[in-house]
Amino acid sequence: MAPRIAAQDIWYTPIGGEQPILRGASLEIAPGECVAILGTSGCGKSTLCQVLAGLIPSRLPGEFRGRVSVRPDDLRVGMVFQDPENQLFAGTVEEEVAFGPSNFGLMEAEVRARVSFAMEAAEVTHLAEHEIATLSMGQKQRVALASMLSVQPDLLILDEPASNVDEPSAEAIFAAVGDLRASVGVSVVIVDHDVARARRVADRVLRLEEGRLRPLGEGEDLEQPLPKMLPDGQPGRTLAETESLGFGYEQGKRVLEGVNLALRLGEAVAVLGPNGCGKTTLAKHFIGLLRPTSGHVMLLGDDTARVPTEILARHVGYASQNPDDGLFARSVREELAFGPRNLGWCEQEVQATIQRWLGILGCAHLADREPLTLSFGEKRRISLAAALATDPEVAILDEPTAALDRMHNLAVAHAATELKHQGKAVLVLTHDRHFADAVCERHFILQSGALRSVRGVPC
Amino acid sequence: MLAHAKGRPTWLDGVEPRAKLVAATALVAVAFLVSSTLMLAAVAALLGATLWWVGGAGKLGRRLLAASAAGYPVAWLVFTVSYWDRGSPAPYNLYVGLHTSGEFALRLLVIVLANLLFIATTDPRQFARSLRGWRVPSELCLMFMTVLRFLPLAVGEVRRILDAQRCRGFRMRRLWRPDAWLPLTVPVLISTLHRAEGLAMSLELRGFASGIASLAEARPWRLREYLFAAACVGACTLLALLG
Repeated sequence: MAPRIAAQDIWYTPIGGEQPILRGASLEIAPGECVAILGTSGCGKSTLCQVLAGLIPSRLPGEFRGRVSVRPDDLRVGMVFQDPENQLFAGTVEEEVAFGPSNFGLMEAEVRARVSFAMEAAEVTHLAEHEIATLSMGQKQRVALASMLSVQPDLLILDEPASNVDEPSAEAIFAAVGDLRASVGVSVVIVDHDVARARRVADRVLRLEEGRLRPLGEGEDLEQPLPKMLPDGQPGRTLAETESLGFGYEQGKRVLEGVNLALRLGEAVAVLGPNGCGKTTLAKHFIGLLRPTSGHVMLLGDDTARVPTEILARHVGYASQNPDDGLFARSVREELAFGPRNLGWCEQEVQATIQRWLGILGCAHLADREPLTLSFGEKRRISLAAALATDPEVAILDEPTAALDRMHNLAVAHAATELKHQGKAVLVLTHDRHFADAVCERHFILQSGALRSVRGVPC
Repeated sequence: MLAHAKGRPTWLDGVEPRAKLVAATALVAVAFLVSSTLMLAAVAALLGATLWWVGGAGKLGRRLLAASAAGYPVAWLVFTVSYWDRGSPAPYNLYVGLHTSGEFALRLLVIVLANLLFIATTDPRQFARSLRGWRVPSELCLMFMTVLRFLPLAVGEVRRILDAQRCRGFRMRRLWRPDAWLPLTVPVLISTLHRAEGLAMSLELRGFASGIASLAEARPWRLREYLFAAACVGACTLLALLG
């Protein structure tokens, strides 16, 4: 059967880039076929997707070589990006989904039929009247999928659709794609990090390596579980704790209710839970970004509600979920120096901590690079290093492995273990159970505002 | 959103935004054309009562009203002092100052209330969509809708970036130094560009550049909306002629 799209010998270097990202990548996709593409963070998976979608070189110019041929000539391509926030603009879910078909001058009845089909396929029919701004990340991801399905693409590209969502939401997205293939025969390209899921969903699994695609071998598995990094010793004294913590953003709506959690010296604690369950809300209390509605959060004997965040930053390192939130400096070295300099460290101490954390996180070779030009995985590690460079007693890692491949996960796991060895307390907020299993002695699940112990001694 | 911050929906919420815009424009014209203080006071009272009926003006509206009220003593002082210069006796100065500043305050109040009433009963996105009915280009309507969608996101983003830097010991009081703005402005700029690029690509993939149609057409006016707009314009014309 003639391929629906064939990319041959693609080379691409973005404007300002020193090295090509794609170096002779070739790919053919048959009608109705599903191809999964795996690869390390920053290897060019998103770039390849943009080539297949026709956005490179027309929308994102650069040095481009190679040939992309499609059949039929007016092949319609839909692409769901990694971050759904960047592709939704309408007020309600229904408006968003209807936007695509409206652009093609279809009759109103046809638009309505397509919207109905797409919302059903992506399981967002019950959200039709909801405002986009009020949806969770997982729901937004599904709305983004529906907005592309309503265009009825011949080729659907999903760029890490599960990177920002919890396991049930990810499964729902992949199930919707499976149903769609079965019902309308759309060709699908999925970029993912989960090999097991990729093998389950796709007809072919490819790996992008050094700018080229190759089939993933049977025995080859990027997703070997992380080794256990749990020390045998007992944890030390309590450094930080919440006492019957309650919090709500709106009156009468509690996000946290009666939460008791102690962070102890030399120990890592994982708080697991689905998107939007309140993990980040809990973390923000330790650094004073939020004040409890009821109860207390104590840090080294002080109530965090009474101490400004800037002072708490001497004792708590908080690595936020999005590494782009804080990066601004002209070099990685300067980025890491920002925190310690704010706290009045002498230059000798600043340079020493930079060297140490760059080494622990395997980023020493990036020291003189501009942080904003790095890949997502590299930025994630730099933002972690920047949060830890102030040598805090308590480290809070918010979704530290989101959108990272195994190799980078391992680097983050080593950093968390190093913190424990140094006698720090570590709080990991994640929906990545494998990472929590490898690094954290105690596990809790945050659900409906309450914290439930699922491993280790509850506290 | 910016407005629409009230509770229960009323009859006015269901009126097509363009009809309400016509009514609000007529009321603003009244504020300039009517010179009778009593009539201005009556219009302001009526608008105030209607605003209360629809569920209030929201936080932004209350701030605007408070700012207007705070400006009244200043206006009174300015007019009193200006009449003082003409050598008139003190009680006369005070009376004229009070009367003139009161009249100006009422005009301002009518303008503010008319606009607040429009804002409090109109969903901005519906308004953007209804502009299509006046042949405003689809691209402009879409731009307006996009701004309305991304404004709260941008505000949230600035907040998040500020929090991230405070967690690294950044102090707001250092912002008097120009270079201290970099840790805030650079991430905000980058994230905005990133968002804009993502949105542009998403719109392109959904056929926005096809040039066939981009937004649903505005719904046509119903009879009650013609009557509403005509009644408002008629009443305002009458007020202007009488007052």
